[in-house]
Amino acid sequence: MKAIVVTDQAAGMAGMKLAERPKPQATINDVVVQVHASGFTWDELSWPSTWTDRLGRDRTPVIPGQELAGVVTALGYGTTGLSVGQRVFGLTDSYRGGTLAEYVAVEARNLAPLPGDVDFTVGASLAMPGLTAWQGLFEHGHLHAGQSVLVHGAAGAVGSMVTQFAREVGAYVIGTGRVAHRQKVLDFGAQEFVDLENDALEDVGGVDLVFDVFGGDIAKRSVAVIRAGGTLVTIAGPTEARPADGLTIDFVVVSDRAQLTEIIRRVRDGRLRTNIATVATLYDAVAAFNRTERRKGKTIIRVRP
Amino acid sequence: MKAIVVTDQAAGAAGMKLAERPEPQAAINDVVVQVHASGFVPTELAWPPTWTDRLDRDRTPSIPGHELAGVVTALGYGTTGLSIGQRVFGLADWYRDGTLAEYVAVEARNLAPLPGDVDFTVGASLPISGLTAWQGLYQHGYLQAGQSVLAHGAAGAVGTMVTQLAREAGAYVIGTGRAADRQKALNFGAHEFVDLDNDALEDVGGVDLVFDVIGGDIQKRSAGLIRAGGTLVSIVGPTEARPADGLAVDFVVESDRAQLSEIVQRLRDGRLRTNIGNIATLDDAVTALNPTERIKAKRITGKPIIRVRP
Repeated sequence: MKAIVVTDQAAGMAGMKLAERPKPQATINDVVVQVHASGFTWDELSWPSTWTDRLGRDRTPVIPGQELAGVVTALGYGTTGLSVGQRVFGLTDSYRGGTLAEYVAVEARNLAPLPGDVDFTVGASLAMPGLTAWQGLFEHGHLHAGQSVLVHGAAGAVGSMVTQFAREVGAYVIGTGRVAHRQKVLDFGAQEFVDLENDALEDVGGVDLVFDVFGGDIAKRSVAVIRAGGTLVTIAGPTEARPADGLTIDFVVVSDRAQLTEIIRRVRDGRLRTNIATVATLYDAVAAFNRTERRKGKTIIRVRP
Repeated sequence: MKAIVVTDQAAGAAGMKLAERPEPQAAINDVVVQVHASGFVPTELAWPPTWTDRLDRDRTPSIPGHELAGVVTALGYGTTGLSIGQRVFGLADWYRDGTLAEYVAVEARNLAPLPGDVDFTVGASLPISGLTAWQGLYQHGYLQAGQSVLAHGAAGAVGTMVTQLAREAGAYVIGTGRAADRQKALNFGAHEFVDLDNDALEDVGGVDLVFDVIGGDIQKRSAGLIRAGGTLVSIVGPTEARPADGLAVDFVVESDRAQLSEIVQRLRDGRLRTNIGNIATLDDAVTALNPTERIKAKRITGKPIIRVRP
């Protein structure tokens, strides 16, 4: 099968190559999915799990990509809950990856059915940002109606999901980003926008939850605006930043069939819009990922036209 | 750390050795658990994932054992939902090093909190049998009150769980086994018992669900008893038999935190009893898990548990 492979961590995205690889086999409780659309996250090539397995052994040549939408073509030994021919979408194991390819083997529990009226491209764009937003707001941030949320990078793939979910539960949303993204952030439902380069973050006043995607100085300054009992949720790794009277939680997203199903239902209902910047074919994938200008939103590879 | 390791598939359980192994590291979304009690399934050494990883690469020396109860000692990068010092129990990944060791690294989502009043030995005996029964009856068999269930091997680790959960759901339970298992099966709540050596399985009449743990001829004959719309659920691999007007589902158990919590809650309420056979220390594990003729003759039907920390 055709796949994008990487073999050299130091080469970064320039090291991506289109290559021929053997088709994956379904192991116990896996399915094999014929990938129709694949999502790739920009910093994936810097994650240890891209390069080694859980025992720390080299796993190159590696096929990156953790998001997918496609059709089940085989079931592993003992696999239940999904059928051959079924449309599915979801998130692979970060130590397996493999969605920038014509086929990928994934644990069935990491996937959910993709309704027939949702395009594969849309399905592949939802898994990582949708689950990240859901888990950060609801599992870790325990967000509820009437609270206020400071959403960093609100025009991005994750931030736009965070903004929409938070609005839907009745929270007051303050989005941040660069000035060029103001209108996009407001369009996704933020009630206010803070331009991180020109506005004073400290003027925001008290919020109940900060959803951080940057870490560093922004995370540190953000904790000052968290009210007593509030939470800093971050996906930028462990941080020293901690609210004076509240919690800090850093997490890595975990796939979850029930949550994927909640997310896709909202897309069908028109309550959630996906945030796709670019769609490219597998042949154009290397060039698409190596473009110099930075785009807000997901780059999706349409593996099957 | 001390661990039981296997390196030679042909050697079977006789190839188990107590050895010194490096402590595992927590990968992303893992926890490391200090194992207090470990459960081992005798057929594990015949399973491909005991010997190879998901890419089919040799992963020996491998540590068997997949059930565990213990205390979290480390969190991996990004891990949430469990804390250091927390008592937990659950099911480790088939393709990773297992629980017959002082420490094991497991994905946090495969574990659930173990309440303080439930012994580690009990916690380690529940995951495979409890989750298998739960998933077979409810997720795959869609069991409802008023239906009837034929529970094969009803005195065994899985069968006793199937019997108890099916009874609790309001089903009529017919247990099977050997003559010596009759009283145990009835004690766990079966309404009837069928002695597979001496009674005629066909006399059972129609049932809605067959929970198969045996396969082969018993499975085929059982499929013939299933009423229209009923289900044959099997844990012994792809089924040859299929009910005339119904479904056959074979499955491999998966860990699930919510289901583990349901199971342990029933245990605390006294609605579920566990079925433990021998308990041995890690130092004695190799002997305990190598069934001699003497032990086989005693027909210990419960689950062997290794108490790793006294």
